Amino acid sequence: MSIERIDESLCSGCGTCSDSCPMDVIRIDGERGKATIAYPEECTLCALCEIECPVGAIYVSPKRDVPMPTCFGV
Amino acid sequence: MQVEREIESDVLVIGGGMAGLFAAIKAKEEGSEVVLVDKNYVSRSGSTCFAEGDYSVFSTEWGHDLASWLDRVRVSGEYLNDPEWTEITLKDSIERYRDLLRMGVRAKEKEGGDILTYTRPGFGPLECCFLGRGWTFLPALRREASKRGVTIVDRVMVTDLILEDGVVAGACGFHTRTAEFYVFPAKAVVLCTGNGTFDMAGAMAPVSFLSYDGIAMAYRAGAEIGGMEFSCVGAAAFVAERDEKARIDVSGRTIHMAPAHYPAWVSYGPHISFNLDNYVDAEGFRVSRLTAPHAIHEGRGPILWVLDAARPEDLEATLRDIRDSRTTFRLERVGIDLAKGGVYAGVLRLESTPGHLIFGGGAGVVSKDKACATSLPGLYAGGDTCYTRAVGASYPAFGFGLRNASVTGARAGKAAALFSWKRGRISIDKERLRRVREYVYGPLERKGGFDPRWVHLQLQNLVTPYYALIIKRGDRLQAFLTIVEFLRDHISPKLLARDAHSLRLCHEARNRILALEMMLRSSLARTESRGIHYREDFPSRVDPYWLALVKIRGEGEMRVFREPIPEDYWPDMSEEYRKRYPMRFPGEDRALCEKD
Repeated sequence: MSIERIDESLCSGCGTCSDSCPMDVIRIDGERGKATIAYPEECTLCALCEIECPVGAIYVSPKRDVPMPTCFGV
Repeated sequence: MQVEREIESDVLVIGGGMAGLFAAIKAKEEGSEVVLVDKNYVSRSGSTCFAEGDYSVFSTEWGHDLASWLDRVRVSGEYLNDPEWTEITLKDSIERYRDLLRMGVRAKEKEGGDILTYTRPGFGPLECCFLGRGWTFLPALRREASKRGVTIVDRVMVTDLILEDGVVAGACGFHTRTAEFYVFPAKAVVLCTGNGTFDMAGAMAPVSFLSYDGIAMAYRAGAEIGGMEFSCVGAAAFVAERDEKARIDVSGRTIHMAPAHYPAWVSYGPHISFNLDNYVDAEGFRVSRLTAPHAIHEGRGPILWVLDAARPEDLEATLRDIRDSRTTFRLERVGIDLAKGGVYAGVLRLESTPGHLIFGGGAGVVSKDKACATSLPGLYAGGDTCYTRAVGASYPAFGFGLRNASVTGARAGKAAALFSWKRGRISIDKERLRRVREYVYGPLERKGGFDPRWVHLQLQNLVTPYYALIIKRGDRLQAFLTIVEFLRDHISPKLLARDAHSLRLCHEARNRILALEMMLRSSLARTESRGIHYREDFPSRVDPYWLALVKIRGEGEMRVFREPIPEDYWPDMSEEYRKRYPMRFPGEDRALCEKD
């Protein structure tokens, strides 16, 4: 699952993880002020988000199970 | 219709890794208005972000000898390097290191305060120092750029250069989150977007965002490209003399460990494979990173990683590197304790990894002078985007990529600033902009079409197997090319984007298809083996015919041509072949005997 979860009770919405992601996987949900995993299928497990998160809210799993994309993306 | 934003500058730098940050800082030092744009967040982008941290500093004060360093690069680069450029990158390096010191980036020290210098097993005698992982030192460079007044634009993917009367007048692109259209009128442009990869899983290193953007946009604008047959780090094909076993380097970065479900997890463990070179094939023969692909090609896979045979000091160095990079948790999470030793059902990565960390000047946009100017007026290139030939047909030693990025980035930034002084205010033709806009947003306007992630998967499956770009052959290259032409003509124009994020993926796919065509055509053209370019059907060097470069230019079709290098730079042709080229290719001896 690569980036597996962001603990919302810890997340302060600071945006560090979102900035740190070179694949643009993480976005900040403006309304709730929390980080969300927007495009998990592109995570390359670099784990910068987990390493950089100031409150330890992110868990990156070593397992990566990506569904096979079809030509129409569904 | 997307909102249009215009940001004007004297110098536009595209790409925010080592080269781009140096280019921006140096252009600013010259007094230019500088914009630095990146499709990611500057300091969390570029291959620099995931660089091991090896940085090669040449300094006579550190006891280095210029002649022997130059000779090493020449021999390992098999005479395709430009010795003048090699010398420049060596001599500039101490200045760039001092720049880094001023920005607060320090090389690792030994106990006692001296700088730690070292070499890596199997990569020759040229030593380097250690700056730490890219992500640990890049923020210092970003801070420096900001402090000096560089305007940083994050998360905007530049797709195309804009020319007015044959001179580069800026670039345009879109915001990868809001899809807003960005226009950057600029008096000079510096491309520092690195090279590329087709490895969408980040299995070699997590740089799946590298998609040849700068090389592709320079090609589309008419610039000369070169060295693309070497744009594949996976393919070093070296043999120590009289070693009967063929050695083909897969660059050794990756170890697939059995407990890890996915290789990226541990494979991007720091320095594991560099410090610990204990591999055996299925028949129990010791193989190195260099011999692994051929062992597998011959049916002797998988390759096992025997930690029990490691020297204790190598193991300790590895563990220290992992601790330093704060990635110990990755090993713990997959249940691996390196200190306990053991045999891992790990194999070296066999798949080729086209040039994601091409070695600092071995392929890309041709630089026509020593200031990183390209064949297009107003366009400069630095880092892995720039084909300086500071290195030749292979990677001479660790630390050259990062070092050359700082050197060429700085030179390109300065030269671009000087060029910008001579130009008046830039205005971009509205009609031209409208046409570019149509190209940029095409995938978003379409009702149906192909998913870019699917296209990326096709590309990955097509060219990452070792028999594509590590062990090459004419008939296979032609077959791959036929498919790539189909992707280019029939899939690339029908890509479908659902949002700004997938619009980025569409443009990345287009650029990758284009770069792949360049790599295949260049590999076909070079009918010999040299450095990391190995062809089964032409397993030896062909002197003097291939003491030449393969260059590309877009003229309706992709035109590939051979350009001989000056005779001054030839090896000593009176010397016996095996002396000129100490490294042996598989099948080479037989081919040479048949010729004799």
